Amino acid sequence: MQSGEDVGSVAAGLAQLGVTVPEHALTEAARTYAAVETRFASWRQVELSYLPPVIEPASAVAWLSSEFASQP
Amino acid sequence: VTRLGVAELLDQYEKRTLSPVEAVEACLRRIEHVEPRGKAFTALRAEQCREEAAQAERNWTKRRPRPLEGVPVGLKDNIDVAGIPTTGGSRLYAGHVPVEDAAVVTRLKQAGALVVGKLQSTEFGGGRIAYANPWDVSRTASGSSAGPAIALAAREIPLAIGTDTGGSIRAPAAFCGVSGLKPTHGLVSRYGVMPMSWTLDHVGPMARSAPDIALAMNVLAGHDHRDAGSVAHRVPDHVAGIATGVRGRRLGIPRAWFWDLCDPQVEGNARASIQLLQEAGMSVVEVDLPRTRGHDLSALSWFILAPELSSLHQVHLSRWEEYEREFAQRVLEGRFVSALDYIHALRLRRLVQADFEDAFRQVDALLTPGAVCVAPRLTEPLEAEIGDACHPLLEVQGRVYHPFNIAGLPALCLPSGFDGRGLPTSVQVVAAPFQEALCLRVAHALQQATSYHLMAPPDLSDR
Repeated sequence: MQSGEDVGSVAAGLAQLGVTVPEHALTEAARTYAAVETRFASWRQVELSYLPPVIEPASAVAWLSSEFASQP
Repeated sequence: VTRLGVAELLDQYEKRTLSPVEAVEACLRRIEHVEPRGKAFTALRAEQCREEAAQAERNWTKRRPRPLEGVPVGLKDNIDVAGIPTTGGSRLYAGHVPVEDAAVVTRLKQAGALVVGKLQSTEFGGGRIAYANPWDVSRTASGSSAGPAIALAAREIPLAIGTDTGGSIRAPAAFCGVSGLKPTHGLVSRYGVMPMSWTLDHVGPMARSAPDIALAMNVLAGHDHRDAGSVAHRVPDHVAGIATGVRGRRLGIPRAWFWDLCDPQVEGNARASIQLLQEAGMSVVEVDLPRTRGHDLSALSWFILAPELSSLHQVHLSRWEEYEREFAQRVLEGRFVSALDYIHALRLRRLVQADFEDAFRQVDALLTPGAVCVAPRLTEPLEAEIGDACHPLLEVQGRVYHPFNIAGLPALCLPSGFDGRGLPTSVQVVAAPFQEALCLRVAHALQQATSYHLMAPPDLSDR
């Protein structure tokens, strides 16, 4: 299963941007991520293959284009 | 005068029993009176507002009023108003004065509304929600549209504009005993509004009654090519038909999720609202959300919001230490989410939408609690009192709001009564995409049967 970045990876990514963040802040952010990730885990099991191929006009919201929704 | 709503002001202007100049002066006096304790405003346009009120008065005299001619309005401080500071509640934007109005501000000004000033926002709409509630200053007004809700409850202004990414219009409306609408995604332009999440952000009106929100929606709604999420959809008249009742309409009550974690007094008042709508002629049926049953909708929202927020704020990362601690943490959290999880979460939104689309084949509107609890005490951290238990507020309050940001549906919170301590409770009315007028019709039917929306908190200046 896909999991999130670890503290080291995030710190390295920030360093590449020239940003240094205290380790305790990164640790706290990682803890929050881990707590939400536990609640998100069941969503990862959801089969998306049966999604309808198109967005119905009544739900025409721009963030889901028909191209995106037609993913198998 | 400051107890009058938008529709009542316009009615009095037309009858010449009140002028926009008198109304603005009354608002400014009220603001001066209340602000030392209320602290809703971050900036005022008093002199410009007086000049514009004089012009509004002339337009009424010439019998050429625009739709909101002479109506005072306040804007949350993440919405640009040219010439006065827009800080997003952040030190990062201290002293920032935009040169251009946000799209909603342009629309309001063109409709004759009088921009009184800017209203408190938590940092970028996502920071610490420590604002005092007018009903009990030892409790929070919630956020992030705290200033709009406080100013409306304290009768400083009759109309305000807020933003909502995960309940930021609806939570403060619920805790402060006013009404707030998160419109359909894409119906109201976000151009000129500081973003948190480009797929979850919404801009919407807050007021004290459904007809007042309807009048505002007639002005705010409409396509704007400058907002990539804006939808070219015919904008209906939100006022027409609002008073025609709900007889024969079907009200759906979701079986689970929304009621699983809810204060008993909030739920009791919501059940009383359902009863009132039945008496007004609505049939009530339970609805299921089978595709998303058993999953955590707030976690799904977080996996979209967190990386989008982190991406948007990458530009400010070098000034990370200038954020408040709470928001700084949020900026970091999204960096832990994998790209695959983010994309998966975006695709999962379609399931949530499909559940609600099925529900709206059975019913015309849904009703849920407007908040999981009443306004919590101003403690660190904030805790939601639900029955005999306490829960971290930020972990539980989004339960009733996130699903409708995920699905992009119109959702309106309005007062449903009070708990035993005299704190406002709220219900939320939700409808299919672009059916704001139906939400407003249901809300109006409830407000016709009750007077909770007319009740004001004790005068802040006396405490």
